[in-house]
Amino acid sequence: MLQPAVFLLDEPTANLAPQVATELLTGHVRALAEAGAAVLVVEQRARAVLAISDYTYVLGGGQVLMADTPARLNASQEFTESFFGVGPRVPQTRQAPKPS
Amino acid sequence: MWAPSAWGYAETIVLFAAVIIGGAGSHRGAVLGAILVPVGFEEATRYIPQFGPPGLVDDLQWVAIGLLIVVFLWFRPQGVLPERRRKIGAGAPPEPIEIPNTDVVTLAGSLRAPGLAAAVGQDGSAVSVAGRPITRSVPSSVEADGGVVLRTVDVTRDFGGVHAVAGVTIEVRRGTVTGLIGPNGAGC
Repeated sequence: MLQPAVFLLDEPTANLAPQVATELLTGHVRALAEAGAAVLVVEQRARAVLAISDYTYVLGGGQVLMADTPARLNASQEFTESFFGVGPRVPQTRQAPKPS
Repeated sequence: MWAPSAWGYAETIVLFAAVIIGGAGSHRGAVLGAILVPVGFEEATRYIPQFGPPGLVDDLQWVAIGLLIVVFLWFRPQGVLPERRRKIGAGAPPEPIEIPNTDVVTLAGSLRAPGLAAAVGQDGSAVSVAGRPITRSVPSSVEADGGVVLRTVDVTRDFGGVHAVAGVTIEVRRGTVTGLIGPNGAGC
């Protein structure tokens, strides 16, 4: 088999079912990187990419708005608010409503 | 007389046989089948000496065509001339290419990055996109790469009046997944 050094994946999960898309990204795309290749993934599924990428560029208006590791992007309020409309994803414990 | 009723069951079978035997995946296969089966097969039986009860040879021809269809579908479903496909992994595996750490492909939208050789088109002219020169260097020893195998420096791409990307600089490193995300029309 050929062993390309670089993979440029342009929306590899387009039109795939959510579960298949997750398997493709967490399984195959991740495995390419583990095997030593450099993998560039353009994706619409931002959360899925953040889950598997080592470094993520956020583009907007043709420019790089942010570039960081997914962990730091997820922790950035500016990013999560602009992208997902919510603040940093801090695990919150919800309390069951008290019976009145 | 030419009428729809002239197209009988037998013609349909011959047509199927021609396509199956010639190769359904290629135009030339269908043409070859159309020559081989009706011409080469139907007409050839004229020259087979008659034996047995009258009409036996003509009827055996249909048995033979049926057998031919079955045999082809079984052993060579792609027909005589198969659909042309790119062969992946066929033949001897190519030698793995050793890529030294310095082998970085750099796409630069401006000449800001020092040490990059100017990309030259086949006619010797400088390559440019939207009036800005594109430089491309393989390899590039501009800076310590840290596993970078692909780098774009200040790349701009226009489609008509639409600035798809304007001055984007990214790096893709060996052994990593690099994500490129953004809302629709962001330039990904």
